[in-house]
Amino acid sequence: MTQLLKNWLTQGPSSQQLISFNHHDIVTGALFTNQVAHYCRLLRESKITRWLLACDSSDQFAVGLCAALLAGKQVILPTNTQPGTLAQLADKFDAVLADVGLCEDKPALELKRELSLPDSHWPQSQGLGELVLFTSGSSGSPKAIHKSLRQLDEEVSQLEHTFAGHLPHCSVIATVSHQHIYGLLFKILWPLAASRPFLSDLVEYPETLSYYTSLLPNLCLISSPAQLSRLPSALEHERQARSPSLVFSSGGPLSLEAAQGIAGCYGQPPIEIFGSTETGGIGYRRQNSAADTWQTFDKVKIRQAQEDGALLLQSPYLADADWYRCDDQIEMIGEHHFRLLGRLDRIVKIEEKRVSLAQMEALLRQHPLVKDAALVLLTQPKQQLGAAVTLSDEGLALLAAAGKLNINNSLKAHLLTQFERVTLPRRWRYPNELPQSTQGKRLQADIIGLFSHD
Amino acid sequence: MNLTDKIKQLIIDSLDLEDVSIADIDSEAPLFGDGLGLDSIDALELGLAIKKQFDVKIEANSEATKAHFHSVASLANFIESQRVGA
Repeated sequence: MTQLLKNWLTQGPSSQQLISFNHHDIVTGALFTNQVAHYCRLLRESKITRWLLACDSSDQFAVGLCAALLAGKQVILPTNTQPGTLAQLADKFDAVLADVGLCEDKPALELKRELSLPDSHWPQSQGLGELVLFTSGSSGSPKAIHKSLRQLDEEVSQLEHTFAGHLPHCSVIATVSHQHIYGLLFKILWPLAASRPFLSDLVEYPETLSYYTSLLPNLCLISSPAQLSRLPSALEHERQARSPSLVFSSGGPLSLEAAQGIAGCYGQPPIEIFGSTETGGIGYRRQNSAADTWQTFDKVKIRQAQEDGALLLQSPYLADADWYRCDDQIEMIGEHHFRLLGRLDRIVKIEEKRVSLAQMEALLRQHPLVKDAALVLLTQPKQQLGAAVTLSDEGLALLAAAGKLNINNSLKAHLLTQFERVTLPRRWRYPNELPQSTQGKRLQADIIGLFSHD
Repeated sequence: MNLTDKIKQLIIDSLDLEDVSIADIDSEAPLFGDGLGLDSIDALELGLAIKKQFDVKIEANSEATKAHFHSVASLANFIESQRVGA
């Protein structure tokens, strides 16, 4: 099975293909085609190449994405639309394709559902565009990752090859955003190419999820540890009468407890996908015991770096055939299986959002109340960030006058210009100085010690 | 303790909010985003805690749920209305 995505994108959907649905509406292939043709025409009239794409509703997002790719544009996908994030990316795009106004200083095309468009043919492309996604690099600034149609197609075709057997006429619903690589592939590109309808809304609550599992007999759920680890408790650990045919989890490690909790409610543990924005999918597993290892996707080759055990990989999802070094430390179990041991850099994940500690510390240091800052990952009562901050004179005066909560909130508001709210530190300490060794190195354990409860 | 204070205490305890006391939470201010500044994961956990403590049923319609969870005051109204209906 090859070129599933390219073939679909070249030919377009059949008029009967059900593209998407929600609780009061459906989008058919015919309606989708009319909209893609409309936006493709508008985009072709513009000389601008680099378009930022952001849209809450997945069906409109898919319209914008297909139209821009067919028009040969470069599609820039921001991980979020916070003003600071967009400001950081300002030199990466020249116009905006979105459902809401985002940047006043750039031309914009509003993505809205046009119902009275004339019947159209699927646009023919003279050259398909490409996608640019962003991820936090360890240096702290966002790193652009270019994805050609060829790379995405390899991955979509491989997903269908590996998992189609589990997916009888499924509808796809997701608790994760389509603005990230995982949601983009699993909720938008793969379903489009394989003719599986997707839910145009994001599922945010367990109640909404249960509504759709009881409504639709065959469901594929695209989710992540943030939702799945809390779901068994929301379902009161009861075996559900209706379960999704398949549950995917990606974005970060799913605990064995959560995998088993899901198995208790839905009959089987989720299929976990390990990968990253840079590499695409690397491996997958179904966790039935702590000993379960990751299996690589068919065309992905891995080995281990001699010096530090880093994962090296060769994959058709990458731009070239070179060995790519990941910052994940692994243990190889035979040629196609491995265990994950941890990260080798200062990138952490909070509720699956990748955060560069260096970037967040640098931003904190720019604030007038702050002299220096150190961030640590705390694991109790849940994985969260702790911020140890030494204050400037201004900061110390405000701490005395207005109290700690006030300072916490000022610094959080400052971090929100670049970081998503779920990633912000939940614990704040304002010591007189940061613990350092005689060589001037930060003493990680002593900083963590600042957060232990008295 | 009145209902709004009970809700505030539940928010502090269930979300493990540090440095926040009942007096710091404005009943009318938004819980999410600006205001108390809770995030989407807090929303999940708070929904679960409210359901357990007050034995209320949360609807699948997320627009209605969002309105109920707007502030402490709207949560109090929601909990009250379910009690009257019971």
